[in-house]
Amino acid sequence: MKPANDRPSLELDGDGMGVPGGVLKGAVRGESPIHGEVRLFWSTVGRGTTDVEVVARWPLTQGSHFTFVLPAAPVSFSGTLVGVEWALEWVDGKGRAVAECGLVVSPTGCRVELPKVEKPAHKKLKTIFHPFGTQG
Amino acid sequence: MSWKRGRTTKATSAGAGCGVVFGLGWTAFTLVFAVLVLQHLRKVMEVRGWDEVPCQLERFEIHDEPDDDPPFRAEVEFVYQVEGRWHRGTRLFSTSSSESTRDDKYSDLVEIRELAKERQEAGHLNCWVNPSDADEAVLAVEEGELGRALLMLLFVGVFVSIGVGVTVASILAMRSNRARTAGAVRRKSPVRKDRGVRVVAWATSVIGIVWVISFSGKWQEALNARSWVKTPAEVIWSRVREQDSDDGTTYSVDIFYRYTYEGQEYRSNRRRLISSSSSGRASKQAEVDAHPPGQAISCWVDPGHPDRAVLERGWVFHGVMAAVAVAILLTSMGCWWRVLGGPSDGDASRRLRENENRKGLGREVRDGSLRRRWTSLTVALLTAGFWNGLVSVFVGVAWKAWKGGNPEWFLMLFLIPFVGIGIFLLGAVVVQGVALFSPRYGVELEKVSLRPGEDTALQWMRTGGVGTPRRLRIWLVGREEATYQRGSSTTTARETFFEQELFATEAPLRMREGRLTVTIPAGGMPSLRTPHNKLRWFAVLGVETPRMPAVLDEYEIDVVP
Repeated sequence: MKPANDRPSLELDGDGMGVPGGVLKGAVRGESPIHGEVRLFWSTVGRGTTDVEVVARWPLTQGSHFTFVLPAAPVSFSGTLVGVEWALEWVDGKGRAVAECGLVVSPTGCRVELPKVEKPAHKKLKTIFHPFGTQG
Repeated sequence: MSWKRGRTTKATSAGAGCGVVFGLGWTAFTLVFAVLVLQHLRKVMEVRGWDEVPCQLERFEIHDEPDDDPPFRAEVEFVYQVEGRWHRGTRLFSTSSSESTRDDKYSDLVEIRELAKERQEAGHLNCWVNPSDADEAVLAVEEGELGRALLMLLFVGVFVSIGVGVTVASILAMRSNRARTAGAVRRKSPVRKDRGVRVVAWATSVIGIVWVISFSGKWQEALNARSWVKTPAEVIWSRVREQDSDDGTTYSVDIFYRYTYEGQEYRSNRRRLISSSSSGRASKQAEVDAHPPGQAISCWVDPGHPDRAVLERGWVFHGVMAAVAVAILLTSMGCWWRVLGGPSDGDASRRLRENENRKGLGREVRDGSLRRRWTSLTVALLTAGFWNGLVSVFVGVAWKAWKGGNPEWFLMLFLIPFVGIGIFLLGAVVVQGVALFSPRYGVELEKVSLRPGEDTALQWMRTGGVGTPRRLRIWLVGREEATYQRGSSTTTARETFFEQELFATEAPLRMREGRLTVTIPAGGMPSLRTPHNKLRWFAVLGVETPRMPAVLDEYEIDVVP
């Protein structure tokens, strides 16, 4: 088994956070020659079936460094049913995953937490049917 | 991460378990029918493998015996030669006995007799001889029997496939639920369409095609019957025919009559284009009593085939079967439209922005509430009709048994929850029907696409409906939606992450029309639209009216980053 520092990896500049609309830089580390591409993508997590969208690709044809411009949305968030996670994936020339790392894309630097409204008032209307008049 | 990755619920696992049990039961039940059809098919195929040998028809007599059942008996005798030896055969079909063939339709036997005579005159009448036993032979292979048997096998096969599909889908769902609980994250690049919708699309396509093929001949005959000729006839005999089945005894009217067409006498006992039997002997006996031997009546004769005649040319049954075929085929078309890519929610955001650009000011007057109510009523009607139609068959069986003094208690107890659901669905139809008349409102949004922190004007006005509302409220609502597979069906869960009441009034004038400003919170999450996961924002208008279903109309706002 290879030592941890010899395994292929993705490293991000700075604190590894991303700001919507900002620039994300980093580099891949591994045995040369470095080839393949780095993919920036987000995926949904939670109760719903997972959806994935690859936002951008950076071919590693001129070195190990990559640069992405992050889109304005979606940001990393978690809700009761739905959440979004961002990640970078290094794939080789045959499309096989070599390394992966997650990142948080958020204007505040932290994943956005969506609250849950326990008993929405507008939903109560649905069950109201008073044959002899409304009450309350 | 603070939220729960891969969370599943006990209800999800229990639902998958129920799906497995249901699927296995369904498959076992339909396999019984499949086995019966296969046995019949084997019998049909067996004779078709026999040797076709020229033969000579010596006798073909049809006797009517009203005291027997079936009342018409055909006796045939034909001779054929195999390897220099002559043999005599007396069997008409492979399913006939060696002495005679019985049928409850006189015209069917006449048709076979005339066809045999025709072929004999043309010099190519053949019989089918068992290659293993030259003494065993049949004169006729039932025309169309192979096709009917194959169609029936295909039809039953669809139902068996549904059972297998439900079982497999439920097992896969149970496995994926366990994987989620263990924390595994699945990533799928291609987005797959609903598997369940594909299954329904294929099943309804096959069922619809089989249905149409099975009934196309009957529909054609019903159309042709409009040109049949009314001809005087005379009753030879009449009786009430009893048929015993697992559901009990049913009765039908059997009238054997003669008529003359273009100088030639014919006989028939065909009363309608499609024969049927039902419970209740008294009404059938009354009709038989009204047609004693010798009674003068009228019949409708096919001028192209004078041996075909009926007493009544009713088409109600054909209409019902045609309506069922249309419903099945429409369902199939709807499923294929969804599978092959009808409009999805993913396009809604783009359409909203396109509308905004096209209209310039981005104004939209929305009064889709009436269309939504009609859609809800239609769905409720179809669901209640389908459910209660199915359940009524079994309720009818239980009712007949109870009336006959032999109640089936287990069946009656088993039906209670199904009848309860049927009554609930009927209630839903009533509620949706009343909702059509609830007050209707149109909402105008100055902009339908906003950024966090931006605001827009919202105007509402009453556009129709009856009743005096008691209260009107408007909210800004943010909602999560997650779509997932549960067993073989697709389910969408919804949770509200933001709700702000913008307006509430009980003043009638203010309820009739008004205007307010909707502001998206500065930190509000932009809308998200993926095939299975969504964040959506709505302006929600809620109206409570005494003695009517509450109105809750949603108007989507696209929040862009």
